[in-house]
Amino acid sequence: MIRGIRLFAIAGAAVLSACGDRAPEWDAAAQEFSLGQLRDAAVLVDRVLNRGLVITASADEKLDFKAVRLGKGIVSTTTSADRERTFVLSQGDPVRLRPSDEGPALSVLEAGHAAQVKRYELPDALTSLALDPAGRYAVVYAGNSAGGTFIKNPNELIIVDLAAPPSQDNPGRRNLPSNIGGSPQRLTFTDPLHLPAGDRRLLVVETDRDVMLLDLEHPDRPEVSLPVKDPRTDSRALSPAGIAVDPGEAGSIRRFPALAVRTNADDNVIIYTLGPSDNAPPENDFIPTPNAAVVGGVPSDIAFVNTNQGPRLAVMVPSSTTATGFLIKVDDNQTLTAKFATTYQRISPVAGFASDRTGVGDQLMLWSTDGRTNSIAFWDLDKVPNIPFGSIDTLKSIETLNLNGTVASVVSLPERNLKIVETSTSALYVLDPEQHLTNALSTTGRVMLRYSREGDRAWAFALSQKALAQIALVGAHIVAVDVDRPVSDVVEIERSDGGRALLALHTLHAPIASLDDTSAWYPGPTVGVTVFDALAPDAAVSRRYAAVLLEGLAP
Amino acid sequence: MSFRFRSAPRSRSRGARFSVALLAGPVLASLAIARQVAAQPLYGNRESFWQGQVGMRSTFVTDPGFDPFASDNVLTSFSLGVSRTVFDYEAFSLAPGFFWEYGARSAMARDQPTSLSTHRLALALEGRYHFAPWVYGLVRLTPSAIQQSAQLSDQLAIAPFVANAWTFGLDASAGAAFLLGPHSDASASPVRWWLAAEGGYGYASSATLQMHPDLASDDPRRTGDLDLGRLALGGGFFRIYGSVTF
Repeated sequence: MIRGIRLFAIAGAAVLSACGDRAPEWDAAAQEFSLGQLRDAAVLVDRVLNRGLVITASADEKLDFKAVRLGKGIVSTTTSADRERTFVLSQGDPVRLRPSDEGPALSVLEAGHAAQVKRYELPDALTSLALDPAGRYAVVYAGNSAGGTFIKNPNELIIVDLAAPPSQDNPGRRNLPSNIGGSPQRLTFTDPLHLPAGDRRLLVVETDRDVMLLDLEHPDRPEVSLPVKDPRTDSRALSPAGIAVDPGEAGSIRRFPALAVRTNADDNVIIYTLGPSDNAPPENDFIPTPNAAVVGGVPSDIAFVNTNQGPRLAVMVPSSTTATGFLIKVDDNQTLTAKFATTYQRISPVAGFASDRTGVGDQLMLWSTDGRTNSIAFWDLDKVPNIPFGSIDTLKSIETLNLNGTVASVVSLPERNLKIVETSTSALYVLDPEQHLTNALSTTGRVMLRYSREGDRAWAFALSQKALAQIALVGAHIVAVDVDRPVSDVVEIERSDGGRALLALHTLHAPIASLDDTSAWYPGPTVGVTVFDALAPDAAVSRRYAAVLLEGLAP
Repeated sequence: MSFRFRSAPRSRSRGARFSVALLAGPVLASLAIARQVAAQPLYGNRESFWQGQVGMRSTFVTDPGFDPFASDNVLTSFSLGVSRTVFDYEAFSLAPGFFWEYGARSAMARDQPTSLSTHRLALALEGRYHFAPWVYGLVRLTPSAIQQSAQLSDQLAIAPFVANAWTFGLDASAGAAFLLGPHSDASASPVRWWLAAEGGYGYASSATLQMHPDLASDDPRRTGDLDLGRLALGGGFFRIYGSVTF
């Protein structure tokens, strides 16, 4: 009998040893996640499990969850400005010993079918991402991020054609030969430029020493280097601090595209006009011609603008107590100046810059976020005198708006041509420059703002507090929304029935901004969501979800 | 050759699924009307007896739905049962019984506390072959009703998530029982002590783990469910138990 019991015990032990552990994802603490905000879905990117949780909404404030696999070693999550794509950059397995081990990749989730992830394998683990506003290209490059492989080529660009499926040639790889040892810092995709040989888009690469132009439609053509100084006569360490692009004008009144560059320490603005070239392909069919415009100080901002006298390059040069604005005619350097009593640093046309000749001057918004300026101004460029050189009477052309505190941030909503100004005293101003309307909102503390895709409403919330409100931006009508849990972020998405859903995210701790400030990381271990009807937010019909990071784990 | 009928089988299915009454009714009825019919069995009251059982059962649940509630695949249950020999023929006997088993597990699912408790109410149809007065082998077919209660707590949820369900189970097992004592045929006490073990496989139908917050019925707040898939508590199992017969 004892022998039988022993046999049974041994058999039992054998069976016990055969019983396995559970799937590892249940033991993976949800340390942190980031948020992708597509037009019709929110994506919780879980870098512990290398997955995205696609959240879509339907009528009656119901949510649907679908998990998608993303690459290993996620370093960033970025959503395009039009909210059509979310990009997840991953570095792959740190050590690849097996053929099945993953390399770096760019995963793309697209609105409308976010669960079908496009995965572009990358040749190198680079950590910065530049997105084409038109949605055609994405460029992965080293940038200033500390991550990636232990040694990397900062001049390598990995260009992903988002209109084409992943293939042997997509993404393409390109090295920028830097004659003077620079490395890319900022990338700008231009609008179509009216180049001499036809309209095309260029990629403008600002390195820490010069500017380079790449023809996106002809990757076989060499890059064009635009120096910001003459290295033979100038020993200063100048680096580009900002650019402005004039696409030029086609038709009978021909104006070639121009690119203006300001630097960190020079009182010149260098303007390159992209004129015709006699070179045959594969050489570039345009050639840059430089022109330096002296503005008497280091510019803080530049922009191409329209005046009633034609297009000009606007330059802002602040001093310790005042600022000077310059309007420079590019082809002959005719310059008008305007003196401002306030140290404005930033300028931008409120309705953007239309390169085709309009004959109507823009409204130029002037502001500063240096913590010293408690006003913004609108400079009317429709009254610029027809003189080659001289001063502009700012009394007649400047409209100043005094604010309740210094300017902390300015957000443009091009969909409605509105500007949202936040001051250091937590006041909010909704500006409609064309209608000359200003609505001031006061808050009891710092508020975060998120905007609907249509730009007609904003959602204000106090971080990690039970405070949420809808702001109808036209008229600045406020609807307070009751919420019973602290809010970490909100995102408005389209519902499957055509309505709009507001998803208020709840976490146990406040989000953490990433080092490059491109995305926030939300700490775990759990996430809750309260769903409102975004068009008629009412807590009574809202719906609460919790533990959503567990959704999609079950097979 | 002699047949000894100790009960008249009167199982009458009324179609009620998974109900305690369905499982317990026929057994209790057969036990209640068991009566001595003929001569002594081959091993007397070491073959034909009432039996009370107390033991432990370990089921190896391989269903992925079990993962949120346990860090391994083992579901250990406390087992309590009673059976009665209702038929014997030489060394063969048949002893139906009624069992209740209770098991529970708890774990953390991505740092969220979870728990699972189960009640299993079973009708055991057990056939025995008595190799000797002190040992018999058994085979058992055990339909059962399983009540499973899952719970998950989340700090951002307005109430714990719960999912309760009844499922159907059917176990097939085999094992052996050993008489610990007293061994003598003519013992002063009719009470004997046994140690038994069995192993087998249990099928269980699955139930949804669509978990919903456990709110009061008059709570006006609207909530969304948490979908953890489905759970079936089937799998290989073994059970060890002590029993007393008389």
